[in-house]
Amino acid sequence: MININIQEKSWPATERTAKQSVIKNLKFSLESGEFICMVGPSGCGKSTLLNLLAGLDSDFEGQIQLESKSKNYSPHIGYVFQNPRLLPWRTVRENIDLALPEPLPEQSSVVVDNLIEVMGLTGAQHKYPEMLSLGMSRRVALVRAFAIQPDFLLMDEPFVSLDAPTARKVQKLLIDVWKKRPHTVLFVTHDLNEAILLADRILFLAPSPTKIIADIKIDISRESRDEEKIDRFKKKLFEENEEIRMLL
Amino acid sequence: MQNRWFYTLAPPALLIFSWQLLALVINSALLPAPFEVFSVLWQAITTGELLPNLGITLARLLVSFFIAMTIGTAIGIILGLRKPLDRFFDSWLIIFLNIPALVTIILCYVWFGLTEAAAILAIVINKLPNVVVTLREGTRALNKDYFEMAESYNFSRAKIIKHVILPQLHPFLIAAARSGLALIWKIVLVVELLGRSDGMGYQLHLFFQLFDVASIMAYTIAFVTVIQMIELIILKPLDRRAQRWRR
Repeated sequence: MININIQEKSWPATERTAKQSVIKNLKFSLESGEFICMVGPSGCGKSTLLNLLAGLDSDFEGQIQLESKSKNYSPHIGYVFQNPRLLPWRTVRENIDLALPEPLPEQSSVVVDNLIEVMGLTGAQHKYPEMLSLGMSRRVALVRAFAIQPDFLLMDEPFVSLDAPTARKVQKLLIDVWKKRPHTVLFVTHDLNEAILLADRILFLAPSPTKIIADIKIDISRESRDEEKIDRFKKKLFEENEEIRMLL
Repeated sequence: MQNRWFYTLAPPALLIFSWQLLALVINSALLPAPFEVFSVLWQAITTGELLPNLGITLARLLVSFFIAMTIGTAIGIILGLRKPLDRFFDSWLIIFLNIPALVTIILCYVWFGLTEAAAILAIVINKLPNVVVTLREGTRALNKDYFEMAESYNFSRAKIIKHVILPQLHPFLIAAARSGLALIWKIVLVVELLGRSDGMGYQLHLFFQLFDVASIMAYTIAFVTVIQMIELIILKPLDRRAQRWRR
């Protein structure tokens, strides 16, 4: 269980602008092993929220409680950014290996080999990121996040600007890998179809300051989520929730 | 491959040819022909007069180069990271960048005597602001995205320096090294001319008093050759290594 309770996150006043409150009284929890999508218009504070959860920004009021298996264990957090953020001067394999915790966990090279193979990157292992297409780079970023065997995986629109067939392929790979080792995922997107395809539960966010306006469970079984069912679900959602329709 | 040889050999060949032509036209002791200069160079090498002086100058160059690069890189990175410090010391930097080399050299000799340490100090002071400015630019240009990635994946400090910071600073380090080497070459000779009794600068001073143009040119050739070697053997390979990931 992950409990998130953010009383306030704001950007300090500068010479030109007044203090700006981005997130206020945002409270929600994630079940262990749950796949949550967050949907909201751009600029609604989603990336800010992820940075708080990843511990990159500690300047806020509130608490984030991550589940912990035991006292001496700090949960692994994987973060897939909006851009792949691979170090261009290190090869694909080096990029992945660098992210692994030290000392190296047992069997980590087997885990990495396996992920690389599943994602179809075996031939690209020793290439530099600049030689890769965007779709491939995104897959490498996914492998890097999965390789650390995260307890909590944050994903910030990781498939944006991929063409539709490539995006579908990577989405499927994501679900396949996740199913083999279920862990809590928080996936941010502005694409509702993508959210319905991937999520157990969708949180709808409204901007400034960020608040949750709806919390919807997806009750279609994962195996049978095809375009038609997703469209039907979306339609129903819009009919029942005026607010969501206005939001998107 | 043929192309490569052409571009390595043809430009110096053309230079020597033009020089020969000019020497023939002018026909004066003030511009000796290439052959004459090369024979003087050979003589200077065989009599054992050139190499020791060249060695002394090279030693001064290397010592001051490493001191200036190390301190300059450290200061540059700190100023690049800390805005208030940068704002405070920016004017200092501009002042030191613009003090004429000759002034620092004279002052160092006046204050610290005609010593080796004063000579090295004068060279370092001349070179330092240059390195600081270059590395400050490099540090400012460091990409925040990579730091966030490194932080979220719990990179250790050593890992961050080795895999995130240094590769990004590499081009700036090379640039500072290149321009630094060129600058120090020019300054070290003046330093020797003014306050040392050995080294290339001192020798050139003697030749100047004797109006021995052939020797001056012979020494210049020895000089340029050494610089070319440093470029070819050290800097170019370093550069290539750092660029290999680029498309």
